[in-house]
Amino acid sequence: MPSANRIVISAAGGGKTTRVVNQALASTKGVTALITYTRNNVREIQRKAVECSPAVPPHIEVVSWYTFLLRELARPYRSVLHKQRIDGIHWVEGKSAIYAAEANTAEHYFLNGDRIYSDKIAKFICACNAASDGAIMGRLKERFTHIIIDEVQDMAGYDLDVLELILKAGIPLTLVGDHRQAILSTNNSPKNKKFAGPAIIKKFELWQKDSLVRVEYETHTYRCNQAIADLGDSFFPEEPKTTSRNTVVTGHDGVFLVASFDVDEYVKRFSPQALRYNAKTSCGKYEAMNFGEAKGLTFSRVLIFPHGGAKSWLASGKLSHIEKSATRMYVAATRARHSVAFVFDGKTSAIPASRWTP
Amino acid sequence: MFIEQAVIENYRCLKKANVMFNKNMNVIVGNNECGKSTLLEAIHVALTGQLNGRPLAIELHPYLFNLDLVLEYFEKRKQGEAVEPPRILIELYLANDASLAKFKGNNNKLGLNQPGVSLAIELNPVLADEFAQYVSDPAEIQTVPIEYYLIRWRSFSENDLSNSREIPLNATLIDASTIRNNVAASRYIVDIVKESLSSKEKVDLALTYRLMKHRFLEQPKVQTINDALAEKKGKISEKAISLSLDTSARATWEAGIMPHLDDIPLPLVGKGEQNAVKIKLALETSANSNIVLIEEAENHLSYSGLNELIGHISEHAGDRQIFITTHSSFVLNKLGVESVLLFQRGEAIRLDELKDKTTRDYFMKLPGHDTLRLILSKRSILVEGPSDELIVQRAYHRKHGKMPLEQGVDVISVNSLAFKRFLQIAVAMKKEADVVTDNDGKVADLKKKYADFLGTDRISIQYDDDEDASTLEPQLMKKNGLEVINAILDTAFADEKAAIDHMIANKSATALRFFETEIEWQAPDYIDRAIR
Repeated sequence: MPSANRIVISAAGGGKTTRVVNQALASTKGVTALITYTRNNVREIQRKAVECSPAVPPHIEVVSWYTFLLRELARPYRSVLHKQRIDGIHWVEGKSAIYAAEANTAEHYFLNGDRIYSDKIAKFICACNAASDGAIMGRLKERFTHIIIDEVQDMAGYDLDVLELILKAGIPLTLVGDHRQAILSTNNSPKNKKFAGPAIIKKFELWQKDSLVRVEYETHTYRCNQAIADLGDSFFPEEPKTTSRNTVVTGHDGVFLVASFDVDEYVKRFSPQALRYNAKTSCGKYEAMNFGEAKGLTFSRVLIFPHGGAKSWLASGKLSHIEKSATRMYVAATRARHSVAFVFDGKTSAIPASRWTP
Repeated sequence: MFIEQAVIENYRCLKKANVMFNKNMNVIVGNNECGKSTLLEAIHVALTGQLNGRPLAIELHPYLFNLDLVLEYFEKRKQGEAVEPPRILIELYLANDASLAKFKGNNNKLGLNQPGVSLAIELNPVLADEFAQYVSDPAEIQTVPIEYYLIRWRSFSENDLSNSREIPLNATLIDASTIRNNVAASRYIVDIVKESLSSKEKVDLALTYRLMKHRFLEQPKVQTINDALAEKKGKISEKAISLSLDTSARATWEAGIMPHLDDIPLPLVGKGEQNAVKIKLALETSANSNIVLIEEAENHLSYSGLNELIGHISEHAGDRQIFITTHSSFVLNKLGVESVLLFQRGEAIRLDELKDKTTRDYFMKLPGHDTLRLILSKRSILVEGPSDELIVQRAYHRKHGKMPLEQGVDVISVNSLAFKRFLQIAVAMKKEADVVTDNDGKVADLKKKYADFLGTDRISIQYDDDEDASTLEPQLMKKNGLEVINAILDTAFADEKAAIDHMIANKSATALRFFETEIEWQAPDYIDRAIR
C-alpha cells in the first residue's frame, strides 16, 4: 500500500510555503505542527498564515526545527539517559566533544550537563527513544495529528534518523523541500554524510522503496520565466524539468551576459539585485547579497558576479566546474522573475545566454 | 480531563503528600488542621500559578514552606550538616488524554509517563552564593529567605509554563472563608463570572466598558467643566488640567463592575447566599475540562440551604472533577461514600482502596456519620452497644473530669461484628483506636478474632481474661461488689447472681443509673485501660 506520508519536491518559486500554510490551515482535526529550519522561515510562515486568517490559529503550532527537537522530543523523556533537565542548546559549528565516548552521556551530549550540543541533539533523541521503549514517538503521535516540515533539504546527520522514526511511528508526515536548494545544513554530524546536500534525495528514494513515503515532484514555477527555469534545471540535468507559469514579457527577459565595463549602464537601466557566491567574490562597487542569504527571496532581476568555478562554467558549459556550488548557483539563478545576467568578459560562452550591450 | 494524583512536598502543612483522586467527585474529609484546605490550595496553585487571586511570585512568603522542614533544615545546619535548601514541590498527574500530550513526559517524582504539571519553589541557582552567605550563621535565622528563590512551573515534558491558559484544565477555587471584605467578595464573583464567559463575550464587555468611559467625556456637561478647568491653567500648574476617566490597564471592567443578585448588590446579600451563588456559578461554567475546588461548602449555610446546594452540586457536576472539603457528615452522605477521601497530613485513603472488599461494601452502605466520627477524632473507643457506651463515657468523665469528646476522644457504639471493619479504617488512617469488648466466656476465640490487631501500635483490644465474668454486668459486679451495685440501682438483692440477672434483664436502665448516679463506682480494669 502506498504511504500517506509525502515528500513534495517543489521547484523554486513554486509557491511551496503558501501551499504548506494552506495545508495546515485546512486541517481541523487535532494539532498540526508546521516546522521549518530557521527562525526566519518560522516568521515567514507566520506571516503567510496571518495573510489567510487574523492570527495563527491555535491548532497550528509553527516552530523551528531545533525548538521542536528540544521541546517535543529531547526533554520529555531525557531522564532515561540523563539526570538533569535540558535547559537549552549549545550551538556548535563543527563537531562537539569529540573525545567523549558515547557511553559517557553527560559529556558526549552535554555542555555543563544542561546544554545539549546542537550537532548531537537528534542523536540523543534517537538513543532516548530506544531507551524509553519508543515513549518519545508514542507521545509525539498523541501530540500532533499531522507534522509538516518545510525546507526538508536542510536536514542532515541524525535528523534524518529522527524523520525516519517519525515515519515508522505512523505519524502523518509531510516533508516539503527542494534538494537542489540544499545549501544550509542543520548540523555537521558525520552521520548520514552520503545523504548530505542534494544527495538527500537518495535517502528520500530509499524511504519510498520501503513504502514509508511517496515522493512527489511539483515541477512548475510561478516566479521564473521559462528561460530562467531552464537555466536552473541545467544545474541538475538528472532532475525533472520545470515548467514556467510566468508569461510576463518585459522586453528584457531571459539569461544574459554583461561585460564588466557595461555593468554600470546595465545597473542604471534595470536595477537588478546583485548576487555573489560569498564575500570573497569581487563585485566592484556594488552591494551584493550572498547566494545563501537570497534563499527564499524573489527579485525581478538579478545580476550575478560569478566566482572562479562559475566563470569556467560560463566559458565551457561544463558542470564539473561548479559541482560543489551547484545548489547555490541554482538558488541564485531562480531568484529572478524576468532576467538573470552574469558579469562575464570571456569571448565565448557555452551556455544559452544573450550578450547584452547598451 | 482530570487530576489522577497529586504529589506534594513541603507545601505548608503538607510535608509529604501523595493522593489519588476520583474522576468526578472527591469529598475530602479530615480533622481540622489536617491539610485539607492546603491540598485544595496546592492543586489550585499548580494549575493556575495563582495564590489568593494573585500571581504566586507576588504572594510568595516564607510560611509557604513546611515549618517542620524549615526548622529541621536550620537545626541540621547548626550542627554543620550539609543539607539541601528547603524546596516546595507540587505535582499534578493528569489522566492520559491525547489532548494533553503536550504535558506528557516522565519528568516527575514518580517517573510515570503521563501528562502533568509540576510547580517547584526552589533556590535560584544564580543566587546560590548569596544564599549560602545568608544562611552561614544559622543561629540568626528562622525563615526561608524567599528573595533567593524562584518558581519553576513546568509540564512533565519539562517545558516551562508561563500562563495558566496553556493548561486546558480550568480550575476554580471557591473558598468563602478567605473572603473577608465586600470588595473581595465581588471581585471573586466577577472572577467566576469571567471564567464562564467566552473570550468574545469578555472582549465585548471590555470594549463596551471602555466605550462607556469615552462617552462620559463627550457629555456636554463634562466638556463644560473641562473647559472651565482649562481656563485655570497657570493658577495651579503650567499645564492644562482636565478630568477624564482612567482607561489604563488597571481600570478594566472587572474593577468597575459590581455583580447584583435580584438587583441587590452582591456585598449586601447574605454570606450564605453569596457562597452558594459562587459555587453554582462555578458549576455553570461551560467547559467540560473544569476542576472545581470547594472549600467547606457548608460555610454560612443553614441546613436547608446546604441541602439545596449539595443537591445542586451533585446534579450539575457533569463531567467535571469536583473537590469538596467538609466537616459535615451530611455532605458526605449526600454525595456518596464512594467519593470520600479520608485525608490526614498528606495521606488519603479511599474506601474503595480498603483491601477487604466486604469492609468496603459495608462502609459504602453505612451512613457516613460513624465513619466520619472515627476519622475526625484524635482517638476513638469502640464499644459494643449503648450501655457500654454510657459506662465508658461516665467512667472517662470520672477519671478525667471531662467528657471524652471534649478531649477529642470519641466513644462509638458499633455492632461487634463491625469492629474489625472500623479497625481496618483506623489502621489505614493511622488512627488510635481501642476496642472495649466482652470476652463472652471465650477468651481464646476473642484472641483469634483480633489476631490481626493484637500487638499493633495504634490498636488496642481491651477485654478481661476472666471467663466467668463474660459481659459488662458481671464485670461491674466483680469490680464494685454487691453493696455498691445495690446502692446505685436502689435495690436490695441478697446475692450477686440475682443482681447480675436483674442488670442483664434491664441493660439500658442499669447503664443509665451508672451514668447518672452520684455514688462512687470503679470501672472494670479493661475499661479503665481504654479510658487511660
